[in-house]
Amino acid sequence: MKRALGVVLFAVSAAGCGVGSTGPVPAGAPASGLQTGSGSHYARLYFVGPYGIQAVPREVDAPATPQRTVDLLLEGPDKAERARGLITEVPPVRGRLTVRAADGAVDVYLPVPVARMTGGGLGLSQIICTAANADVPGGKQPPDVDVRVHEAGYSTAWTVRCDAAGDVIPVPT
Amino acid sequence: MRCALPRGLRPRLVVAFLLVAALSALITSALTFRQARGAILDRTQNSAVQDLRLQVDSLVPNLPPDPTDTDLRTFTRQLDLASGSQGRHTAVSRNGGSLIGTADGIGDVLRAAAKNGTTTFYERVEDPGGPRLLIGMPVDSTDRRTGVGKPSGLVVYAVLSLHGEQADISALITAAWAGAVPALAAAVAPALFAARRVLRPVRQLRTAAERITSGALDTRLDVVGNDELAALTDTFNTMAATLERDDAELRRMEANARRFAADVSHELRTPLAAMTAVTDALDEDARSGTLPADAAEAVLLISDETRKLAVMVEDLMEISRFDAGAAVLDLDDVSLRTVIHKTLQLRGWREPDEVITELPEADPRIRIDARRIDVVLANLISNALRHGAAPVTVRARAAPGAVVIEVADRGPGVPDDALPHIFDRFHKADAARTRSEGSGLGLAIARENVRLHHGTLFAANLPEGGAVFTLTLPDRRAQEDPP
Repeated sequence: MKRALGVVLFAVSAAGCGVGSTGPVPAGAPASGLQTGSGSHYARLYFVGPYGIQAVPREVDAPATPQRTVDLLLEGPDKAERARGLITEVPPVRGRLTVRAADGAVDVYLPVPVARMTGGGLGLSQIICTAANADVPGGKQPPDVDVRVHEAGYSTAWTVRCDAAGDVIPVPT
Repeated sequence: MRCALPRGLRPRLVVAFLLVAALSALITSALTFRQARGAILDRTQNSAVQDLRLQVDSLVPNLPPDPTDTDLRTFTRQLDLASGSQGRHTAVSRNGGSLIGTADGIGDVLRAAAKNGTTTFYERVEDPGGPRLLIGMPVDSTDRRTGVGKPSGLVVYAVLSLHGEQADISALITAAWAGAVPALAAAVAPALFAARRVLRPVRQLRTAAERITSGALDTRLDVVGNDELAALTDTFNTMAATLERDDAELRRMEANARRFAADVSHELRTPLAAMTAVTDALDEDARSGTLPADAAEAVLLISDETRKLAVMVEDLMEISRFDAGAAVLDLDDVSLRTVIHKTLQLRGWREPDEVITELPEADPRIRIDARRIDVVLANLISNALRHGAAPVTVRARAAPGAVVIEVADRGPGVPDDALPHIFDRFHKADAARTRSEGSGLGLAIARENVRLHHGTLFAANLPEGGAVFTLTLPDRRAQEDPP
């Protein structure tokens, strides 16, 4: 009887009273969906995801100049991107939104003043970050690229930068 | 170390019940605990892995094909944000390189397991800071046009605290204790009940056995139930019935034998009386010389044997009266000195050649059946004279509440092996001597007479040689006539 009791006690203690540790245990298939690098040119578009502003790579045929990239942004997310919950908050703009690349800087010409742009608050950040992450001459990293915003009806432009997290920060003059 | 088991049946039953209850509670709790713990942990692990996979699946397409460290850091920050209240920390490693992100404490074992990129692994570790769940999830790259996936070299690691699960499991243990302890306490009640049920018949059996031992052979027990104890009770009843029957049979046979002896002795008495009368007459002739010498010798022999036969028949009848319970005491107040001297006078024993008397100065009066005590004393003294050597000492003294009379001789004493049987009927101390003066019933009759007086009679050997018979008679006057 003592032996049986011992066996039971052993079994109980072997089961342990806490959470216990394990070795690595297989738990199914890996995650998937990383884009392959078949093409050489990518545009980096900023859309709005569930957790804020989100950079999305878009394969393009030719090098992504700021103007082409912003044009792609204005077209909005494609089907796959929308399926992942990405939207754009850039309001429809009447008139052409022109982007010019300079040396280490981009000039963005808004056809309407910022104050009259409707839609979500992240639309302007999308435009600025997309422009800053395009192929800008001068070899600067995107967070260091100056984006000069020219509003219609205003003579002076204001300069901002887009940091790695997609936040727009003003450049002190 | 051996622990001492309790002796009684009741504590043993209670202990056995408690052990069984404890064992079953332990096993039940252990199995339930195992199952519940496994369920809790499995659900946490599965949902953690599933959540992570969903979020990685949704966020990883936003990474460029060749993500920079900044891209990856942004990616892990988004994963951390996506975990919500789980408080998960994630990190990414590219091609087995260093971890980028907020997760720390990822072990080499998990990294090695997740490195080949085909399977997701999780691992539970017990850290000083509490138990944690680690997940290593490789990421496949998907060709946009063909949809075919292959390992990309990226592995997402996640770390979750299992504090909540540990609390749940601790609650399980607390609940198991809370259930087991009252169960153990409750097990005492049926244990005591069962012990009572078992012990009551046992106690009854014991009482009944004691009653049978003390002579109540008609003791029977009620058979209750149909279990082993009932069978034992039944067997006990059968045993008691058999004992009673055998006892009755033995008593009947003994009574038959005694009645036979009584009848025979009674039947022999009348012819013997006639024979004695005739042999007495012939004796006269033989002694006077009117018969021829050899005829006279034969007549003397016959008359001697006839006398012995008559004594034996008288003794047999006396014993039969004792057996039949027909012997009655004819009590009288007499002087001790008178009783002893009368016995000596009647038998013609001379003082101090044959018998020396040592009597107390104050002659006590005793209430006895004088005839029976005379028979006893005569038998003891004649035995002493016959088997021992003269002179025989008769010593009397008054003890508190009794009178003690000792008859001692100076002979060789009674053989040790014969001493216990000396009062048996027809017992002869010397087996080789088949013929003796006595009937072989003398000491038996003496003892019966003493017993009738509620006294005792013992035989012993003196250390200096010779046998001593001690007769103790209670002082009936003190009992019957309280002052």
